[in-house]
Amino acid sequence: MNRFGTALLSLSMTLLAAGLAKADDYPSRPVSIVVPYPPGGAVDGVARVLATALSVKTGKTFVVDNRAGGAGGVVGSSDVVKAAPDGYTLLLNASIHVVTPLINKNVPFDVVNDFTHISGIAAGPLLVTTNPSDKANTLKEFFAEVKADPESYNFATSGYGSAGHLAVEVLKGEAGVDTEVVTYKGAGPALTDMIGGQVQLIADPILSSLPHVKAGRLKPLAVTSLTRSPLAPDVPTVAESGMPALEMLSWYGVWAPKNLDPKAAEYLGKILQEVVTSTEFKDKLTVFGFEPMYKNSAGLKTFVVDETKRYSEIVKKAGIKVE
Amino acid sequence: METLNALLLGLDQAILPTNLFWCLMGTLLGTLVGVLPGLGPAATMAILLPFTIGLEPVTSLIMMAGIYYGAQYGGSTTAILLNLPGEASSVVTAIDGYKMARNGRAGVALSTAAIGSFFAGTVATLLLALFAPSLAEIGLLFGPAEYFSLMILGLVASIVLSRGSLPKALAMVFIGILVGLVGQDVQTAAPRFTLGFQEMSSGVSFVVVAMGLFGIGELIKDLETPESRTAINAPFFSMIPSREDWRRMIAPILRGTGVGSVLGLLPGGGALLAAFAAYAIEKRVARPPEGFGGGAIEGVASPESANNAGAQTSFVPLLTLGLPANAVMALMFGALIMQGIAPGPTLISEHPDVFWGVIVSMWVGNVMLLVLNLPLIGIWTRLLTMPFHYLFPAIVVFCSIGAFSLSNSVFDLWLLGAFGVAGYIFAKLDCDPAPLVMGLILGPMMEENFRRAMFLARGNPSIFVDRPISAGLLVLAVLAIAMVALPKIKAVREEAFQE
Repeated sequence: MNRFGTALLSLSMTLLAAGLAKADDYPSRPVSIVVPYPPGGAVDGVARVLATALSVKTGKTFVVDNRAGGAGGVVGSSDVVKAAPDGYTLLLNASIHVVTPLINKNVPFDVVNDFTHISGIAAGPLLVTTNPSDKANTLKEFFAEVKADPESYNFATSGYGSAGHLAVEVLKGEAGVDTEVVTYKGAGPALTDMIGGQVQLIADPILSSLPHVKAGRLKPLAVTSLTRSPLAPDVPTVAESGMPALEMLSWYGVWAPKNLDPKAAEYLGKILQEVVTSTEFKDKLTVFGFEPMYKNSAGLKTFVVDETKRYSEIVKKAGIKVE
Repeated sequence: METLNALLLGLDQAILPTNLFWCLMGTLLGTLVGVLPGLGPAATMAILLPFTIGLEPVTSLIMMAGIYYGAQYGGSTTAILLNLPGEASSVVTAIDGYKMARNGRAGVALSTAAIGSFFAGTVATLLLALFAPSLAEIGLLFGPAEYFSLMILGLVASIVLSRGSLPKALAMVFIGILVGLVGQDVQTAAPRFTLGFQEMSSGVSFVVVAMGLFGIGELIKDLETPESRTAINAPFFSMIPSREDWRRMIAPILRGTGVGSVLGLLPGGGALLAAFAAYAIEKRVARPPEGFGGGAIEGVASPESANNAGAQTSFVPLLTLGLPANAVMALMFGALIMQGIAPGPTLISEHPDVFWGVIVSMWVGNVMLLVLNLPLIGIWTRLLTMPFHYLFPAIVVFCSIGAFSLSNSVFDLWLLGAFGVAGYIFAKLDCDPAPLVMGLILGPMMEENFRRAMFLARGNPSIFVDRPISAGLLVLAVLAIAMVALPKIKAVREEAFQE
């Protein structure tokens, strides 16, 4: 209802702005941050925290616009690519934004060149967990068990091509096991089956898995950052858990259509730096199990290029491209 | 004693004036979006999510919960009056409820729905308070194999319960499953049957299908005979159930409440499966003089109780395990996170005020809904006296707004139109669209769990019979088929004998 309202509102605003035909100082009307998923998930949550922080900081209006659809949010992301590069339509997406074109055919945009990279926002490691009934306490022990009795083990992921999926594929490759990964639609059902003992290994963001670890329903084996997470200081890193060191973060960034109006780009770059590096923003993110990861425009672009390279190697090795 | 103290703590929270106020707002809003076709509780909650940040955690949850079960009340209103199920779970209610309305018993149907919902809501709240932590474990017993078998049972039930010919019902279920398979493959994320439309890669929305088939399709059919909708020749829209009505609705309400409370605990189809299962059971047990599909009060009482009970118990997995069972629960999960509370198994001990406050508020909310809805029934039934040439464009507009608001996409409007035409064709062919909707919702879940179970069992199908719960559900499904098939076989044999 309200989305219809928002649509109507933004439509009338657009008409109004067009009628005035005068470029006021950016932003002179509400800026919409497109989230290519339904409301309620981690990406949506980060976007809302960011939108609120930006609105408070600037006194201008930043609204979250959920446009779900397609693999890895392709529908919403394509909408942003096609939008006017006036700074009033932004995209907030997670690392899967970079992975999607690597595993899917027919993705109608180029992650590096079809967007203006604005800012890195946040990042957080994943928890690699197993069912508490499993005897293993480290990844090394776990994979030794899998090798001894491969038929009894199943691995899970909360989404095809997610950071957790890639992390499990990397671990599999290094441990030398070829257990296939069962795909679930979201963390909820995947964790239900983990807790119920139907599947034995998952790598999932701290947000969804840490509460179960605290309640003793999941056993943590490792955290996928190079150093331990302050949110789960007892959980060893992948290296401490007996495997080659691994960093696999779930990270978030903000993009705009390519050739963004330089005025808007300058404004957004400055304001995002202020917000993302603030203590309030850091505190808000803690609930999600994330930490701020500020990157400026050039920094985000380099990061995207590097991550694309790294992910494409994992995808190729694991053979998880969709045919 | 401990439970009593906890309930008192909850009551303390629930009767705070702010919480009462937002509970009322939630239930009001829920009723409203339930009444408006296409605008579901999920969309409404998504919209309100940003506003709830300013409220206390328990208050925001109380309001959002109010929207959810308020919508269950409201959804049945349009299902009964206009054959427009506002919610998936009121698809069943439309079968006999709409017929009752056409027979001039709209008021009674609406009161029955409200009374059944209230009773079920009260029982489910009590169950939640007493057994929530242990109930949660039931959900964990269900793995992919159990879900697959449950879906089979659900689909069989939808065929058994549909009116009209069996082959037609079977065909409708299969069409539903096929439509449900549109979208990304579960395991490999490959797009299937998307006809090249990017918009279809996330599947076809239930809301669009239901509004098209039931709402628009029925409209087109009614346009053939102008003003047919208002031709209800009942002298007086009584809303008070007669002594006979009361006698007939008691047992179905009890059965519906039982079925709903149990099925609501299961992630996925909760309230919806509950409504269908309750109706199927009623069809076996009760003997209404009108017959099911002819405006039987049992066909309203039972599924309405079941979906409300189910809506309430579906909070169990979220509040006790931190595992959202459906889209609405996922939004609640989101709301909690944004309040700085990570939902999980520790919620009860770390935030008892939130847990018990929400539970007690559900009962308070149910009282509000009853008080709110009974007087409204008189107003709603007047909708039926509205000339069809006003009603018809209004329905089309509301359906279109609802479809568009799903993902702000014009594509969904085209889909709505397409399913409207399909609904008209089905109506002409005398095919009941209810099994199609079941197939659409349960089919993909069935496939997902089937493939997952086969995956886990390394391709050995015996997993479905080796696991006791799964085997039990399959036996029930076979029994259900046998019950429908046997009389037919017998009839055929008798015919043969006579010749």
